This record gives sequence, C-alpha cells and structure tokens, in this order.
Amino acid sequence: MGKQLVIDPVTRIEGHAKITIHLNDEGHVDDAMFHVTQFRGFEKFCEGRPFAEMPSLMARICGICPVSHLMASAKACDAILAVSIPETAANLRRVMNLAQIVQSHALSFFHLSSPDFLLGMDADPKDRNVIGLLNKFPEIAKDGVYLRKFGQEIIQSLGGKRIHPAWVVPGGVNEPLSVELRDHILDGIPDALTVIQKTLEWFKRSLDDYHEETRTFANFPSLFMALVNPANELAHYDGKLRFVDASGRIVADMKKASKYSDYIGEAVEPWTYLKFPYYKPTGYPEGIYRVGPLARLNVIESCGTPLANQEWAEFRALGRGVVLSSFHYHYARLIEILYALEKIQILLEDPDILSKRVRAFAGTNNLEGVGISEAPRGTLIHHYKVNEDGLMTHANLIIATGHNNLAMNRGVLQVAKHFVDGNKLKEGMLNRVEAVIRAFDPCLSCSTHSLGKMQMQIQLIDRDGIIVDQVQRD
Amino acid sequence: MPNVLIIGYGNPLRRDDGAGWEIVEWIEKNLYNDHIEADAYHQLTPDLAEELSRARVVIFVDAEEGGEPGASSIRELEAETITSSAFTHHINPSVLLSLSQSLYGKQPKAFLSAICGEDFGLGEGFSPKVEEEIPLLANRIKELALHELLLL
Repeated sequence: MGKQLVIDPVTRIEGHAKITIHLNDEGHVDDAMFHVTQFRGFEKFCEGRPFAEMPSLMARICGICPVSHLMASAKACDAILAVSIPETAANLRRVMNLAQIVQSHALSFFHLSSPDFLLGMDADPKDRNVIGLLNKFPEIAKDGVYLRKFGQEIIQSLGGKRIHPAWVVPGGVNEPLSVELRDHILDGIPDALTVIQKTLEWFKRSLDDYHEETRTFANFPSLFMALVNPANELAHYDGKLRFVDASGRIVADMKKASKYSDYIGEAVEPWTYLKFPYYKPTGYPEGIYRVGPLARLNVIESCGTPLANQEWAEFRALGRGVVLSSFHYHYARLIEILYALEKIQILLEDPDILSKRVRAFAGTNNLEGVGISEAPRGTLIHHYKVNEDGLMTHANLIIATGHNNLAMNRGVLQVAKHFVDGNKLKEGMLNRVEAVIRAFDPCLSCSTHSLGKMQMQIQLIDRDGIIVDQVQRD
Repeated sequence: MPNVLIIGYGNPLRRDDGAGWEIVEWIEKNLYNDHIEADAYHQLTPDLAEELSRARVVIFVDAEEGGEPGASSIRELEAETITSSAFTHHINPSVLLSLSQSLYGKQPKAFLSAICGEDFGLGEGFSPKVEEEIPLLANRIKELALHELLLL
C-alpha cells in the first residue's frame, strides 16, 4: 500500500506551508511536494489606491525584506511618473538595498542555517537552533546578531521612522544624506568586514563535511536568472535581467523591465497557492530556473568589488560553468554580504552621495510601470497599472520565493529520494528535507504571525488516511 | 537607550494581527517620556536581543489566537531556552530574553501583553471587539510603563 509522508510546519510565519512525501508500496519515495497553503491576496488589496502610496504600503507586506518591496515598488512608480531619478537618489536607494541584503542574509545564515552546520544535521531539534548555537558557539551567534543589526541600523538611519517608512518615494528619496550619517555608517564597515571574512573562512573549511548534502541538495541543471550591470557584475538595484543555462551560457538578456512577461510565464497547480514562474521560451515545467544569491553569482563575470571578486573566483571553481548545488546558496550568501559591505563603502565614499538633488517630481505620465530589483532571496517584480487619476487598477507581484518554486519542489524530491526511508522516520532524514528548503530561504512572512501554538508536525500516512508514524515538535 | 522599552509586533496588513502596531502608535501619541520608547516590528528577530539588554524593563505587545475576541492580558515573562523550528525567521519573546542574557549578560524585567484577535484576514482595521479593547489595553500598558519607571 502506498503511503504519504507529511511534514507540516505550523508556525506563525511559515505555518502556511508543508511538505508531503509520497511513498510507494516498498516505502521508497515516489514523489515530493512543497505546498503553500495560504492565499496571498496583496495584488487585489492594492486596487483603487493612489499609486504614490504603493511603496510604503508594499514595505508593510514583509517584515524580513520590506526594503526589497519598497525598491521594486518605487521603481514601478518611477516608470509611471516617466522620470529618470537623480543618480544620488539611485545610489542612496542602492545603499539601503544592500543593507537589506546584509541583514537578511545574516538572519538566514546565522540564525536558521548555521545550527545545521555547527551542531550537525542529525542533532536533536531541541538543541539544533539559535539557542543551541549560543551555548556551543556564542561568538558565532554574536557575529550573526552583529551583522544583522548593522544592516538594520543602516536601513533605519536612512529610512527614519519604523512604522511608516517614507524615505524611498516615487521619483527618488525624500531627504538627502547628511555628512554625520554617512560617516557613522562608514565607521562601522571595517568591523563588519572582519566579521564576514572570518565567517567565510570557517564556512569554507566546513564544506568538506557536507559532500553528501552538496551532491544531493537541489543539485541539478537549470537556468539561473538575476540582474547584472553593464559590466556584467553583481547588481541588486537595477540592470538587465539575465538568464544563463547550466553551462553558464547566456540564454537571454532582458534590457527592458516592461518585457518581463515575454520571458516569464506563471503556471498554477491545484495543490498549492504559490504560482510556478517558468522561462517562457522553454515552457512549463521544463523552463525551471533559480534566483537568489546562487543565481546572482552564476550570471555574472565578476562581483565588482576587490574582496568579493576573490571569493567569487574561488566559489565559481566549485562548478564547471556555473555552481549547480543549492547547498551553495549558503556560501553565496556570505559572499554577497562581503560584496554588499564593500559596495556600501564605495557608494558612500563618492562625494556626490551628499548631493541635495535626490528627487524628481512628476504626475501620472504612464498608465503602466514595472519595477525590478534583487531582493535577498532573488528577483522581485512589481507591475502596476493605473487609471488617468493615478489610482491603481492592477498589480502583479512576482516574488523571489515564487521564482524558486519549481526548483524547491525538485530539490525536495531529490533529497527525499536520497535520505528518506519511508518505513520509519528519523530526525536526520526530515531535517535534510527541511534543510534543502532552508537553503533557498523561502519567505512567506506575508502571512499572519500572532501569538499561538508553534509546532512542527510530521506524519506518515497511508493512502487510506491512516497515520502510521508521527513526529511532532512543539 | 530608554529604561522602559515597549515592543509591538505583528502584521499590520492582517487585520487584528496589527494590534501591536496600533498600540505602539497610541503610546507614541499619548505618552511623552524620554525614558520610555515604543517600537513596532513585523516579527521578533535575534538582533533585538541587544536592544533588550540595554533596557531595564520591556513590554511586548502582540495579538493572540484563540480565546474570547477582544480579551486582553498582561503577564510577566521569564526567559526560555527552547526555540521554535529552524524554519521560521521569528523567535518568541522568552527566547529573545534568553538571547539577551546569554549574549550580553543582561536581561530586562519583561511583560507580555496580548489581545485576543478574531479576524486575521488580509486587510487593515480591526474587528469591533479588538478595536474597542485596543485603547483600553494601551492605557494599561502606559500605566504599567510609568509604574515600572517609578520602581527603577
């Protein structure tokens, strides 16, 4: 009799996703799926609002990457205004976006994933968490908090009030940078660089312990998509959207954001609310592509900053052409933190960053606008349509976690087939199934997270719906 | 750093889940004291441990699932060393207290104030009973903050 294995995390944020693993009669994995079980209805929610309100509204969608939504939204609004914003404003937005990369990657790497690396994939989940990390490796836990806080402080010092951030606005930013704030941020860069370089060193040393995970964690050929700048370097704020294949060959360079729908289609499946974006010329589901730090390091020819360039060269030597294993998302995140810190320094050391010309003013000059930026987890697309009065009539958001949906599903299947014995659940098996999802660092924090029971339920169910094995984590 | 830190958290676009934010806004409008600070967040993350370590009293404000809609409570919190699944970006207030103690050698006296929500659907605004209770709970939090300040 076939069985179904359900990993159903019921938490405040990601409690609206689960993993099911379908077993055949012999207890071997037949299929596996990552389900998002809650509808995201933000697009409908936007209709009828003045488009100028969109950036601050969108920043409230997500507590983990509000800046990313702010950027993509502001760029879509710039397109509706039909303005080219002052370069200083673009650079200030870049600084904020890079600070977001630092804080979000630090949270993902140190808080969520490093317990796996340092305490072991097979460790008891009661210990394999940030508290366990703290008990055994307090300095590393402290480093994670430090980097996350450094990124957050840059965002808050630029953005001002936390509840209603209104610094990034259509047409630019609403206040220039002061000398004092610039110097304050610059003062913090050297220590942050020391922390991330130290982290990179121990992580690279630990890679030898994870050959099996590297080989099996969503390690397959696919396309990769990310922004690149005109010099083919890392770009998080703007640039052309590039697709490369598994050999590193450029498949497409999309220069106009408004053309995204020529390249990206969105499929739906009845068992999940998260759409499946795919590379349109190849079709669905063959048009699988990945986004995020791994993809960004795969589509470029160099990072564009000295220290990150050296690390990138070493990183790319892991693969022929590009790096295919999604386990290396973690490694890529660390290199991106290094890059972001260096780039923030470069941007802030340019005297023009203090220019007072930081905003372009205009009315509704286009009835449609698309904004694309790179969020920590990958490419973020905001597409708005407005009426003559500037009121929103349509919004389409394609979020990074969505782009990776096909790859996450294939990754769950690959890991489940390799590690899971369906006849008896063991902690290490399940953790690796979760860990492959964690490598992508999916974010579903648009869902509610009020006080409530937080638990992880894992069930082995046969086709008749009878539970034959169960593990629950409170 | 303030002596008393009020931290409201929740998703302001998920109806009653935004009660923590609303209460922080109420506090900002109705409590002027240099020793008391109120901040709102979507969720609690480890970096907040440092802010906690620099405060002497912290009052968390959240929405709660289950219970009578609009019912509210304030209770003292202890540090806790069990964290949630490694899937989530969010940690709970007790774990945050523990992080503060372990990382920085200090943890504030802490309270958790919660209000039972009814509607956690997409949207702004609150269900009627929660809307009615918000200013009442906010006022109790204000009184608690001022009382704790006197004890310091």
